[in-house]
Amino acid sequence: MNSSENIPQADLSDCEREPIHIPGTIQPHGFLLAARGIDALISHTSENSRTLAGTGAAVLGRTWEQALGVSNARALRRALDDPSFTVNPLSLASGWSPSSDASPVTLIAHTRGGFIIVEGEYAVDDALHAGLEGHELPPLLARMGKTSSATELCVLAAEETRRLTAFDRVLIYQFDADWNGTVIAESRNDVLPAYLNHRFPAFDIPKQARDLYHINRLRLIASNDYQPVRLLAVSSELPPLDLTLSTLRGISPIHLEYMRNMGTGSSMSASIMRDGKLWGLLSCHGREPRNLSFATRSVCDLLAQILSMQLAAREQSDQLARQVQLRKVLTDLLAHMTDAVDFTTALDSSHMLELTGAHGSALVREGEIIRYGITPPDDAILKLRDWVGPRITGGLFQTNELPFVYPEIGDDASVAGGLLAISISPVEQCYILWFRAELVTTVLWSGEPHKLPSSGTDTLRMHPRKSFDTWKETVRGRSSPWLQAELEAAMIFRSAVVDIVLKQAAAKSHLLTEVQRMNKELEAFAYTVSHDLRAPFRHVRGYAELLQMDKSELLDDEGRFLLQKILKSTAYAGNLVDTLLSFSRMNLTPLNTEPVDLNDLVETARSHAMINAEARSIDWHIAPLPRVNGDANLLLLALQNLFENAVKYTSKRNHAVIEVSAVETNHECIVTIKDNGAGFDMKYADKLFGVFQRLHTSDQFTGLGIGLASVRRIIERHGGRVWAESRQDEYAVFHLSLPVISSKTSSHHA
Amino acid sequence: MLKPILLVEDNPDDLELALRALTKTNLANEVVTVRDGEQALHYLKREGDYANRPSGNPAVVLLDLKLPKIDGIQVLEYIKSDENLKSIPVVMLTSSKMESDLTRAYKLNVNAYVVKPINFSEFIEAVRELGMFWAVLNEPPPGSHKSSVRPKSAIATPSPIISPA
Repeated sequence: MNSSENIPQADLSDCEREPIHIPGTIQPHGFLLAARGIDALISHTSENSRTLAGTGAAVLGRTWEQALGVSNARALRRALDDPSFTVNPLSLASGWSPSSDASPVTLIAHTRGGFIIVEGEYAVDDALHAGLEGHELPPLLARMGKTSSATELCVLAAEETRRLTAFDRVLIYQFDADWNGTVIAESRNDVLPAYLNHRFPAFDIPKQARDLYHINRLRLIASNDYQPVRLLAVSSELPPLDLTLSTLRGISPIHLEYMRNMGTGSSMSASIMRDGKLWGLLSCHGREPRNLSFATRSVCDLLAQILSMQLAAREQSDQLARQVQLRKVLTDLLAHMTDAVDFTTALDSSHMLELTGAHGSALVREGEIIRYGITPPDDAILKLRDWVGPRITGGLFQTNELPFVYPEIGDDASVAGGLLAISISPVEQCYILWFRAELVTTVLWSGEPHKLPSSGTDTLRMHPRKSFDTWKETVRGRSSPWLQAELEAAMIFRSAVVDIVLKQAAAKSHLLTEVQRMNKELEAFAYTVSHDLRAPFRHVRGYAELLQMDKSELLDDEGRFLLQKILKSTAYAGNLVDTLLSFSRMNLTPLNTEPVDLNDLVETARSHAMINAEARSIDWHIAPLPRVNGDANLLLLALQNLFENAVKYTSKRNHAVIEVSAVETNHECIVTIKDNGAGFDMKYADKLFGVFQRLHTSDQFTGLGIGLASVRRIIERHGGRVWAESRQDEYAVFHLSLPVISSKTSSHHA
Repeated sequence: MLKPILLVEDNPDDLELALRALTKTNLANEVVTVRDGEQALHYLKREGDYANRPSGNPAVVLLDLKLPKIDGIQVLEYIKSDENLKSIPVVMLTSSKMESDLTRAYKLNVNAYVVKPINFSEFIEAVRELGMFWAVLNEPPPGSHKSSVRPKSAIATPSPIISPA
């Protein structure tokens, strides 16, 4: 039976399921023996085996000693006691010949699936190329350490591998998240075409092949055109032999066809691992068949492992450098924030963007948005906030392909290919979003990647692709990925902000409690003033008045003069207490704001102010006034104070004129009260509205210096302002502004 | 026989001045003075020291707000909730202008609320008007305890603040 005819032909549906670890064949550049243990008899062998016990099937049922000789069998027995034996293929003997006419072989042993498997590889004279000897390793490591980038490092590794193996082309091939592979470094002569920067689709290396790469780090296909050698078993009951770790393992016909299509006659690949995961491949191709000795292959494996470690170290130091850089930004940012009343005021564009290496950022707090850099528009940000809010877990959400997970981003995808979001306060609906612009990249595929290969006529027969021509693809909607260090920076920033927000909230509530407590104390104080301090003044005044009423005839002129002084002083003191009380109460009572007709208020205030000036002739010019929003009682009090002032300071005029008018702007109503009285010196205008500030002696005009302070407090509590102007001995004008209701509800303009 | 006026006042100076003010109004009514809320209630309910007083309610109660033991508001509350007493006019006589006190007093149907003025002459005037109105003129119909007319100066209104310079 011609063994090659029995080679199973995989069909398309078997593509991913092809049991490549139990091919039932080996490559012909060596032979294979297997038994269940060191004391067991040989249970499997390859048709081409040639041992002390004989050739082919004759070897089955023999002992290890019979097959390999006593010394080799003893070496095998020793190796089995070595705990690392199951992992590493072990070189048992080099240049061993079972007989004088047989070619020398290198014996390599490993265990798999309960079997001891020994492979005899026919000797290869590749000493010329196996140049990497012990003393060459330190300078190579030094050169690797000096490379300035990962790419340069990979190029060096590729060159070194090609020098060692004399393959025509060596590639460093890196997997992406979807298991597409990109050639990131290449060393070659002109025999095979360049693949640098080309991407190979994931289906070129199916999952079970990648799984094998995990376990068996190095594979060699000495020739794509070999005649497979069948494995023979001592009994047909035995399960197929697991060749996962075998160096001679027969290759899938699909892969051989792939190689032929690609124009490579021989190949070798070593796995580049990172953190226990397959990171990439060190992949060697030759146009002609090429065999390598176990020693040379081991050196290549070592080189791939050094590369893995170097890449890891480099990535770690890059991450560390990025981390240090981000810490600096973070420190700056936090220093600003802790000083700020509201942390948002401390955030500036450059810091916000540097923190995560973003192109744009947005702080969203309820409906309010603060944007930095390049971001989608406000409405898109709000929608995105609503979408991402529930998706934030552990405080953070990130993607570098937002348009794929959130297609609603639509046209804004160009500025938001990547999104990193943190939640500050879900209660306040406070989030910070970072955007990364999409990275439009051109990928050079080696052959069209989205088309599964098929031969067309015979669809059941799986064919690998035939074309490796460059196929250009433009990739959109993805940004560069967020680095671990950037995510960490965002998380540290988040906890700092949350901390600040919480602290500020606590401080606010503490302040509020404090103010409430102080208000209560003030109230108690006001009560004491009103009730307890007022009483003694009343009593002094009462007794003095009684003295004046009933006993004044007992006093002489001097006594009556002194009595007058007592009466006057106690009256003043009493008034002072009453006024202070009213003034303090102005803060305690809440504003009762409602629409108020200024015309009514002015009329009431005017009549109050005229009570003690009924005898005087005063011309009141009162223009029609609008309606305003305010507390009617307090506004009345303010107007009354201003009118009483006007009446008082015009008392020395024969013809007093008091004018009241109002002007409305879009947002405020300005009421003006002008009198032709004594006025004041503008030099002291700023003192006018202070408590107990008087610009006239009490001989000139009576008063406590608290009325205008009350006016100011009332108006400011309404959100308005007061100011005054004057020319001494000519006029005084007082203005007050009040928030306006709306132009429709106001009546007339002055 | 004129009904007495019940004056409830703990401060001796206020008491002295109030008595003098009442004297100056020339009212013929007897003025009964008590010094705290408890005594006031004893008098009104004819208990304790006043168990043997002649029956009949006073013409008016002049009641200080801040009193030892039982304060003025509580006394007012008792009077206005007692069937036999609620027709007695009660005038709150106080130093306090606190709005909360005023509100509470009015809620309890006080008949008038007088903030004791600094000026004694004004005080005399207020007491005189009160006395004239309730001690002499006012004969409330049975069951009525409120008057629609209040003496002018007896009504507490927020007084305007004295003008400054």
